[in-house]
Amino acid sequence: MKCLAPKIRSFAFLWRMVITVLPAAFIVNAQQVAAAEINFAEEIAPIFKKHCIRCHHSENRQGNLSLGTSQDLKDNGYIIAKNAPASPLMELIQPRDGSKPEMPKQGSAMSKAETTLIKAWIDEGAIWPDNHVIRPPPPSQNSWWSYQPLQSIHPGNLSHLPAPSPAANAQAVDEFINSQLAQRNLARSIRADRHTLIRRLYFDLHGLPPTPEAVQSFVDDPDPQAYAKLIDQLLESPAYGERYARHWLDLAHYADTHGFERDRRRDSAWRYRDYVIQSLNDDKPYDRFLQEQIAGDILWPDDPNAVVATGFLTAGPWDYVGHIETKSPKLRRAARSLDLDDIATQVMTSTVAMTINCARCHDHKLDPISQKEYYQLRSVFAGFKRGDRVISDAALKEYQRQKESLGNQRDLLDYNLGRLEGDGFDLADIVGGGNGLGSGTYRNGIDTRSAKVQTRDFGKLGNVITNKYAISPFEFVDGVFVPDGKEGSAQIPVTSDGMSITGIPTTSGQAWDMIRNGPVASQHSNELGGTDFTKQGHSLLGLHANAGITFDLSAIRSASKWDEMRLFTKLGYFGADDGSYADAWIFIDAEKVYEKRRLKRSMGLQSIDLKIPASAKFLTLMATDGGNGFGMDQIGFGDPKLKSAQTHSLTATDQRQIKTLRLERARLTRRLEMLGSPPRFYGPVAETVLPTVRLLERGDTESPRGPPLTPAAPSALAMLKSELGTGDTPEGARRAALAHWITADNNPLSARVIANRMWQWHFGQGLVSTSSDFGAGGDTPSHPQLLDWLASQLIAQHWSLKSLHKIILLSETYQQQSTFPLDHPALSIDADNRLLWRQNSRRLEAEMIRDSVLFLSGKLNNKRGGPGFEDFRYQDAYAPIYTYITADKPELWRRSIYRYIVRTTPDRFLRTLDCPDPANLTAKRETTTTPLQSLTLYNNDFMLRQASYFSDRIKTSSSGDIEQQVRKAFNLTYGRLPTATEAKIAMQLVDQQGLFTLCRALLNSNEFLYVD
Amino acid sequence: MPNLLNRRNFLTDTATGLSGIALASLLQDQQLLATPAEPIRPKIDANKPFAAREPHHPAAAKRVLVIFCSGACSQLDTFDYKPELVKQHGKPLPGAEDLLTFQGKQGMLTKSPWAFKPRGQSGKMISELVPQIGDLADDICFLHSLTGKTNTHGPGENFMSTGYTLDGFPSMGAWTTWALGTENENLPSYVAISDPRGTPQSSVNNWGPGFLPAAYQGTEFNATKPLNNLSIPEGVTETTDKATRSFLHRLNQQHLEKFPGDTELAARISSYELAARMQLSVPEVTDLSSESKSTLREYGADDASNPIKAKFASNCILARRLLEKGVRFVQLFNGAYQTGGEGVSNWDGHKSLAEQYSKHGPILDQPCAAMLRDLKRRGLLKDTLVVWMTEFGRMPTFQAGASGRDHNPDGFTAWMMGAGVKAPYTYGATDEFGHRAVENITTVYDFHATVLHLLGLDHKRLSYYHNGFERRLTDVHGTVIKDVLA
Repeated sequence: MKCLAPKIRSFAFLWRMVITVLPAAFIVNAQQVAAAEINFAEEIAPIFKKHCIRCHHSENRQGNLSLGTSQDLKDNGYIIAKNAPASPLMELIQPRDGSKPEMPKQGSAMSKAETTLIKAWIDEGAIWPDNHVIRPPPPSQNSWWSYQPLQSIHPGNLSHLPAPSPAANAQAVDEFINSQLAQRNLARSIRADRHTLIRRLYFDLHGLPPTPEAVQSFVDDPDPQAYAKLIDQLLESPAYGERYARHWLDLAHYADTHGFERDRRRDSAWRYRDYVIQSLNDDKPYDRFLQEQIAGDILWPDDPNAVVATGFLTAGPWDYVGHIETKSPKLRRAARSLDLDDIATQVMTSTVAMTINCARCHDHKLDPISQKEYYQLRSVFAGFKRGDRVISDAALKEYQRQKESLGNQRDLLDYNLGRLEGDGFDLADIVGGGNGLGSGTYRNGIDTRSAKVQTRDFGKLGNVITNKYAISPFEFVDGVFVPDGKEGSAQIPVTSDGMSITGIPTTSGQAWDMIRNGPVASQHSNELGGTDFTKQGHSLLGLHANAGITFDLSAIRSASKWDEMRLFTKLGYFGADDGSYADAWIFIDAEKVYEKRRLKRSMGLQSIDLKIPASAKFLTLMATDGGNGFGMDQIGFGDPKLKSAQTHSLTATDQRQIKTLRLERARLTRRLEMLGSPPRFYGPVAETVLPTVRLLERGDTESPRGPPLTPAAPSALAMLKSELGTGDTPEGARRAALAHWITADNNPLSARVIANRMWQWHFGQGLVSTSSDFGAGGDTPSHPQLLDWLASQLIAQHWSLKSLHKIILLSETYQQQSTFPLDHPALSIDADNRLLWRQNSRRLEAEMIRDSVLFLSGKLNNKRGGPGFEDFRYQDAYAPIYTYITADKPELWRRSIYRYIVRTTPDRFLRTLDCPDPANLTAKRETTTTPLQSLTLYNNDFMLRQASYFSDRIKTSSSGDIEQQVRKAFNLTYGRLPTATEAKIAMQLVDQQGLFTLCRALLNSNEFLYVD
Repeated sequence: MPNLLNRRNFLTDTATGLSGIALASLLQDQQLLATPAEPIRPKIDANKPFAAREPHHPAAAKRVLVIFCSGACSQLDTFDYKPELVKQHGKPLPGAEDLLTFQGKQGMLTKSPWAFKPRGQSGKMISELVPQIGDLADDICFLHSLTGKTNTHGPGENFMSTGYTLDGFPSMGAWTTWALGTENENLPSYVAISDPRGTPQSSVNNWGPGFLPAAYQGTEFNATKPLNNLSIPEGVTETTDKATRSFLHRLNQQHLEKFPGDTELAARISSYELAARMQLSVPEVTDLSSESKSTLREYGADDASNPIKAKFASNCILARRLLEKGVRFVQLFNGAYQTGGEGVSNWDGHKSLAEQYSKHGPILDQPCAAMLRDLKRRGLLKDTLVVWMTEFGRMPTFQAGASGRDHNPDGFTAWMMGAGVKAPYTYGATDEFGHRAVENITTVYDFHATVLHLLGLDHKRLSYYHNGFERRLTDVHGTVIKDVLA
């Protein structure tokens, strides 16, 4: 935020004055002077109010100065009564040497008449009536540029142009730019050559380099419209949406995990990411694009895309510990408050660039947004929480119907196959509610307290009663229990017909999570002894101590027709190897048949093969905590199978039948895979009761104040009605009302903000450089007329972003070259290039580097959409562990937009290359240049492997001729052939060090990494 | 052209003739204003983002070592002695009937399982859990009255390391290196040494750049986990590597001729030269083989009976070596979350504090104390500030039905040592049970302001514009704790 910053000169001046005239009273109070000619209240106060007070009032005091009362002027000695020439204030407000006066910093300088008045006032004695307090003007909605309606502007000298056309519009852009350059005696640079232009367009619109063939055909195209044709072609490609979605997702701070310390997975988030890509590719009108993202589920409930769009609201981080895990209601309220702040901030900064979050603890210090308005806005969002949500009930039903039907068919096949092949009954599958042949639900669990089926994860269980047998409704499960041996004395019931065990040691009597078909909640690892039991072809019966489960052998026998059976399984301790241990037990009809005490992770897998007599009725598996607490005691039975003890040979008929069944099964499996994940997305889930929102004193959730607030948008935009409903307006209707407020044709901010963002995306810098802050703390537009004209064009072209792209891209301004000589006259006038006397050269963004490297190596996998690819090993734990691996297989060679983005554990390669943290709303990416980046690009495993693939690609597509290889390598990387010198040194290098070396160097070169 | 320094801000400042440093020293000299005027950005040369930069005022400390005990190390079992807690052991905490902290209901007041003894000349009472650190009491400035804003670990670590409970804010080290650059450009300016057991709860947020340029993020490595991408790749000979580099250099130089005005391209070329120097100097500093046997023994790096301690000791040696070489900011972590939550691999002793701390105390104590003694012997404490911290404190009660302490942000301990710090000294106090800060109550903001002050930085003037805010390490708060300054 800008503020009054006296310059050194002023300080020195002030200092001199302090020494010489201290400690005289500089300001004369009203009672001391009887009469004066100048009326403070009517003549002086309005000047302070107009020029000074916004930054210098009692609440703000920039430069340690308030002009609200005379106190600071007195204390700081800015005014010396009856001596205006010696008063530092005069020094600050008068122009010197023809330059703008230092104060006011913002807005226009005081007029001659105004400074004359102040001078006279000081000379008269600087009388400031005691009781006169100057308050900041009612916020700046009447004067601040961005709150004013769009100006209707016609660029000058365009009468010679035909009726509006893309070309005419582009010329209009140039007129605006030219006229401001001309004012400073500057001119645009010449147009870049076609080779430069095609690379610029490809990277800008696709985030990928052009192929050498595309470069050649564009350079050689005799059509004067070749450039316009190229733009159309690139905007039509789906790669456009994949590139531009990145910009939007930066604003939405999208990721695939929740963030914060636990950073759990958010597996259904990707649908929103795909929605953004698709919408951009479809050129969905921007107003509709925003409406859908804020209230699509309310406005178009039958359109799945519009529903998924609301994933925008929930794309940011969410604190699991603060919302769920903590028992303190105060902490929960605090977490929720920050959550709502995140949502409201995201919506308002991305769409209208209003920094409403500055008004959480007090009225906005610079912009006309009161604290009350901030909480009114929050009440728009307070009625929903972040969560998984079905796209529509119908879609989910249909999905489930298909899945169930296919699943049933496959279960039947498995059952028949199992009978023919003797695969056995999978006890884990049975725990998941299955028939033992794969129909169970993965990770479903049985509650040891009640035998109820539970689908969600639990932690430590409350209300545990030990040694109480709960009978299961499942066909093959008899019951469950939580054992506590009480020093061997307890009779622990283990069957529904009253059998019990005894001689079991004392346990803590505590239990964690469910008995599961799969790992238990927060299981340290799914892997033991080199086998990941969650992988295809394996199963795991998760049994965290203290817990026991009894299977009904009679029921299994009658289904399988087996008499004598065997139990095969691999038992292990799946908790951490930190000294923890537990005991595992197996009983048949309450007789102990297996016991492993003090089982630790380091002991690996215990292979178990137990014979079960034809007469046995019950099989019990049990884990107890070993007496050292139940933490970590994640006992697991890997691949637990009951099989017939009789081995029988297969008849020829059986074998034929098996073959047919297998084929059928493969077909069903493919169909199930094609069905994909359930039609769920991460979005807003309405609360059952609409919460009351009150203003929070200092932003503190424990200090609500005043009456319940009704939903409203900031009143700063005077042309719009700010009310968004009453206290009774339902949650969704509030959002719909806000969506309409934001996208109203006469809302001047939305169109300006997106036009400015597009300008920034094309030039590296917006016309307003603070693209998410159009308030007084931000920048003012370098070309206000151009900005308004672009915004008006966008609305006139029915909010078509692609139309706006074309206007900008077709302009000569965009097509200028970026290079400039060191003695260019503009350097001393506009080194920042805000006047656009040239194009800006830019380094590729992190994701573009990764994608382009894959493109060059020929490995880029163009699979579009769907769940993100995971270039890490995932380990479910207290806080899940994401360990990155080198992306070295086709599934991981997709475009970076399809990356599964982990918040708290960032991809180091990309982060080093300036990929921003998705905890933040990123309006504009920073580019840094560091030695660690160089090391990363030079030595990182991914880069090296890709360099090697790149060299393989060149080798296979060219003969062994080194010269040809060098030409090919340069042409692919730069879209041009090497110069004679380059060819010479490159051939030398390839000759001595091999082609890989050249490829590695090219991928590190500035010409590849920068777009001119 | 976007680049390292925020060009707009930089040019705006220079265009108006305002030199932050000049203004700062003027202010300092003349003490004209109680609080200086404008946030001032460091003046960063895009070609040398890490070049050493002048502080706002003469600095007591040139560099910082932060020792961070992840998991919320209990003040009551280490440095905050409460005789009343011993006396009232087993009785209820007055007024705690309805106290619902992070994990729920509180049980009875419980004295530390470790005895406290007077240490050093000053006789500061410190627990037997950390006897060797205790022996350094005369060199330490204890702050017992810190108060935090959160009761959960991730936000708590964020708060201590970044001044905000949320993710995504720049860490103290990022602010510091952004402001001051480094004294040795051949090494990363900011190093985060993670614990041998893994990373802390809030992981990279503890050394993240937030919205500052990514160049100022901490570089993570430790004595057993080397810096990524540092060595010449397998299968590439040194000759080839050099040849590649020199070819790349020629390629880039030729390209530069076409863009004479582009400083960023030039900066990228020199970053490869810097990288090459780093490839030599980092292995040198991380190679502990030149350390004597007696040093290894003193730190406990040779302790075969306790491999975690031995590895942590190596990290301590590494920290000392980095500081010796002029690394600006070193963060040394003790405790981790990946390999076990709730006190297993960290200080989060909710359920079985005595058992868990018996493991963690020895891992921390000897290596850390040896490092501090070593820093002192080598004269490094003269211009190095050592800061010990943890995310918050713990309760004087045990949790209902458990043998450990719940979280407590209302009164906890941190300490400082070395450059510019008063010692022996104790600042502030908690109540008779060590529950709430009651004397000289201070905040994390004050703490951060003090650290920056010792580095010669005025926390109110070190700010960065982000999404509508001038952001600071200290948000809109913070007062330098003058009492602890030497």
